Amino acid sequence: MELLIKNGIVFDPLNGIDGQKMDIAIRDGKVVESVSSGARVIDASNLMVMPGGVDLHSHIAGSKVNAGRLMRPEDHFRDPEAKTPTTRSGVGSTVPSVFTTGYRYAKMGYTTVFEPATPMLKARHTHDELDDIPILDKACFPLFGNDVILLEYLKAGRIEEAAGYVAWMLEAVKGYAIKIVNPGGLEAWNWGGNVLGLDEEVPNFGITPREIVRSLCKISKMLNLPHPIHLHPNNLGRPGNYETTIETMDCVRDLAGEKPVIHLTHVQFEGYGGRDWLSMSSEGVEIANYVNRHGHVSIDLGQLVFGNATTMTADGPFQFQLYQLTGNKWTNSDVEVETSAGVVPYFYKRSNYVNAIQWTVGLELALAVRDPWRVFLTTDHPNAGPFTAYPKVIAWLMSRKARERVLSKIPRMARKRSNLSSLDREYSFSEIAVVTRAGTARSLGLKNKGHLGVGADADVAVYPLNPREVDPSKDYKKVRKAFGNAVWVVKEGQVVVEKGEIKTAPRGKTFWVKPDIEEDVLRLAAANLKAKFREYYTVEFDNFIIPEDALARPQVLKAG
Amino acid sequence: MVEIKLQLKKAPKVPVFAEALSPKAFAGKSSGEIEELPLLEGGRSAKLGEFFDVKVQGEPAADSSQCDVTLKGDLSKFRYVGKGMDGGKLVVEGNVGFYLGEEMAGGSITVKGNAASWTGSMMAGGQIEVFGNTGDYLAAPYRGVQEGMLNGSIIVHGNTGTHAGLWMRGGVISVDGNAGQFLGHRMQDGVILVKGNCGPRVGAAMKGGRIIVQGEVAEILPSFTYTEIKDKAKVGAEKIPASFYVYTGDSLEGGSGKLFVSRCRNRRLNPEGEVFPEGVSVNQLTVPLVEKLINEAERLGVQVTKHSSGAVVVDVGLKAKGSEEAGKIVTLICLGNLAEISIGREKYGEDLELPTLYETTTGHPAVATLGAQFAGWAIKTEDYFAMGSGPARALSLQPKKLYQKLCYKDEAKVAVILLEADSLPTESALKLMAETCNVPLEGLYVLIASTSSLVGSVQIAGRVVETGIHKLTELGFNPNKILKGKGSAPIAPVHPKSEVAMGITNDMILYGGDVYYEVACKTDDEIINIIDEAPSIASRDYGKPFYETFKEAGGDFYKIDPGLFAPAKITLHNVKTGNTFTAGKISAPILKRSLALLKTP
Ligand SMILES: [Zn+2]
Repeated sequence: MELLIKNGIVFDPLNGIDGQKMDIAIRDGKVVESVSSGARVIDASNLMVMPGGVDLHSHIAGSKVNAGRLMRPEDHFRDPEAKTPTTRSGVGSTVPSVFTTGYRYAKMGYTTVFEPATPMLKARHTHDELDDIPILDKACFPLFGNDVILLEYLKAGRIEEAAGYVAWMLEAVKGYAIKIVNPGGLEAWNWGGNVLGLDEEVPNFGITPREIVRSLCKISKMLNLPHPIHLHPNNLGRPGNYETTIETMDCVRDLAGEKPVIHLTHVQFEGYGGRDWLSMSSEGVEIANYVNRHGHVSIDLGQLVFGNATTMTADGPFQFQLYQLTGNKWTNSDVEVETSAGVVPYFYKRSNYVNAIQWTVGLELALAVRDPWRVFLTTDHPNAGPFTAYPKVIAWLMSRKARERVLSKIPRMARKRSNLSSLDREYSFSEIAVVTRAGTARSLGLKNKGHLGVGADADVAVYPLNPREVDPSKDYKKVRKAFGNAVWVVKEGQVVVEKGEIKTAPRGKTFWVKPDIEEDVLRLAAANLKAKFREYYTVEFDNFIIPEDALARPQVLKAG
Repeated sequence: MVEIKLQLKKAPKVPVFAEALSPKAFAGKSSGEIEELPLLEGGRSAKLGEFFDVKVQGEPAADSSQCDVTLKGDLSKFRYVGKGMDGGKLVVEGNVGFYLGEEMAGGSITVKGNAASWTGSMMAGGQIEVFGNTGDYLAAPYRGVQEGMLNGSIIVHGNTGTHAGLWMRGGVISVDGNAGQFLGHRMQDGVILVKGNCGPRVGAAMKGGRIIVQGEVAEILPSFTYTEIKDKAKVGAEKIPASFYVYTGDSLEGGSGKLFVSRCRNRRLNPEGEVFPEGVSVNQLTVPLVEKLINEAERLGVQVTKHSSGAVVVDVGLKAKGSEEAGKIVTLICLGNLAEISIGREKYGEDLELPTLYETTTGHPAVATLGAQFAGWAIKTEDYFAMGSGPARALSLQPKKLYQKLCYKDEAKVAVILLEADSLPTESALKLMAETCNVPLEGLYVLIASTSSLVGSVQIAGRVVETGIHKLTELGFNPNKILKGKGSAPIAPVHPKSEVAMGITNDMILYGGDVYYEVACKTDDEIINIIDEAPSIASRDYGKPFYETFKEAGGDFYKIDPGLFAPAKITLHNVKTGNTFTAGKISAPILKRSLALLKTP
């Protein structure tokens, strides 16, 4: 099958293409040099063309997503999706149903989305759910930062064996990268506590979050994983936490290599100054300054969007704190051996100065980090806002005027406690393409994603906007509208969105990584684990392992 | 006004999403266009015309407030009828399904049958009236939503299920029947009135607003705090006159919601430690005494007449001479036979000795006195007037407020009443009394005595305990906290002129009455706050024979301080603390001045 997207104005930063008019030729799901005259032609004249969007942090599948879905009927009932001949019915809002998640991402021109927090024990459920999200390519990040077996290895100083264990786990649960949430804090939460700093000892283990982060960073490098450790640091959501955030980034500075070795996620939640909620301020610029000086770090925003959200993290103690703060409903979960989790609905109010400061933190980060290849657009969906708000965030990034409109409406105190109004930068279309696809694809090590060069996956988005005519700084509303509803979206060479509607909803792939490690190390890790398994887990060792054929469309990526 | 009539012609197999069944959707449409409106039967798109015959009378009106819609048939499977309605009229002649009038903002919905759950869900205005029952979650928001009914009113003539008024923020819900559990759960504001009973956990987690239950409540949650008794509750502009225990809560939510529960229907709650009259019929108790009067009429000096209507009239002191014993029996009858009476002689001061009546209540002092003996029923027809006292009042509930206070009413089929009058009751008066007491005329026994009679003098002296309780009650004391009443008052010699007789008999209590009550109060404050105000001496009109006061007031009772009507001396003994409090004193000089009036021609 051949396809020719003709005369589009293309933004493909990985190939140095910045708004040139050109054709994209597609055959058998890949971008090719040229196609025959019989190819189907999509006339993209005066329309903006970008690679399909790549999201590296969005909670779209797994047990806590499902808990959030179940506990919030009110989140859905005003946003129903009727079935059509090509799509299934569902509901939207902050935690959409599985199918709706796929459709809505696709309509925004996104074709790859990674689920960033999967307890290994819940991976089977996560994969089942990922399989049911149509159109998108997906992957999931298993949670290691509080895993008891890993902590035991680290306590014993056996890092090689720990690496074997991580490698075995990644393969067993078909995971993609090492996720760390509140290192050590969740183990403390099992005892009702938390750890509040990088050098506070984890109860019963005598090791610190710093050692956990450093060890996992080393392991990630040892295994040659395509994406660095993906970290939700300690003290998330607390005033004054920006210092912990910077310390955390700095604690692996000596491990720097060619690529970033640590990715800090949803940094908006980690960029607060002040001693308490009353004296809270935005320290987005401080963090950005560190990032600007240190190439070993990348971040994503976790940009806050005013309105409804459903907070869901593995950070059990944080969720408990939020529950106490709001009195809202709360789900708490203890995943034996591995991690915790919590869910609390939240409504971000523009008139609330804490929420308003939070809003400025994300934008400060985006505007003050100079290298767009190391800062990515996320809302930590659905924590700081739903992914459907991305077009709004894009408009804020591209237009000072759009930001001013909000700034003028937030409490004065919030304006005073933030540097946002002094930041003039406005993103270009090319920079938007970096922070929403090219940069994320590169960070994830997806060589065929995020660009439109020959050999790339034929994932393409065509947006109803002429970038040569529209001034995004002024016409930010047009920008917002365009990014919200692509005219055409092509996934693996198939037209999935046509005239803004879902045309067909094929099943996407699920990536998993086979770490770069000796087979005998892996066998030893398996033997060690098997010996402990009965004692530690409520499931059988053999049932724990997810065979590749349990996934609908697995796609293995060999590390190294 | 355009009339739109829909007749159900085909019953759906599965629930139908029927938002189109609303004046809002019908406005400006012809019958043909209305038939084309979309409905969803299960997952199948259907047209309204498949299920209904549509008739439109009058020009289609673009404004929904001009639409008068009637839906006929069993619409139990039709959901979201009248959703988002903002004006006009919608009548359902039959039952209707879930989510009737969800988020409606104006107009009115009337359901002749039953309405299912979530009726009036999240409504913001307008009115819903359901003649049958409703399901659960009346006015409650959609699952998980925390903003409930905002405004408007819902009237349910039948019963409602659980969780009525969940998350309510305003407006009024009124239920004639019973309500299930979790009434007003998580309520923030607004008013819920339930005329029947309600299930457990009423007001759980409420933060504000008011819930009024006129029937029985299954329980009061321990997180509610009792505050006071109130003798009315407000619902919008309407006042409901009934005695309520008022609770506030839910303290678990730091709430300041108010829970009004009928005091008389929920006596077991008894936060005030009252003694409630249970299983006592003051009319039935007096039947042997009435029989004695009739059987021994001659010896007692009374005259019995069986009126042609069937009622029995006993003249104990009008034309009949009466006797001291007849006086005692009449006094006991007035007290519902809940007392013991004796007559002796007592010294008042140095040189005055008078025949004196002693009485002790034998149980339920408040019911015996206020509930029976108190002269609180003005019997008035076009040809007759008299003040009535005695047990029959507990059937006629005159005055009603007093019986709410006592939580007492009699349900006997005989009525016994004493009239203080100067002429025999007419037929119209007898009929009125029987009807008001809800007894057959054959069950009506009327005793009659003039003030200027031997029986009159005795039975007025026998009101000394009642006069004290009445005064205490007027001062705000809860009569149900009185465990026992004792008292004495001189018996006035008879004077032929009733005005003068009235003056002297009153003086016997005002200046010679001495009462003693045993009460049960948690603190002495309840007594200390009122005791000084209780005896007659606290009145501005104290100090001279009542006849003089009466004359000075130009014969107008209403010009006399009602606080004067009290015994000369009152003693309260609190059994909970062991303390005794006394106020007032007997005044022999004024008694003497009063008795001097006997010489009045
Ligand atoms: Zn996240």
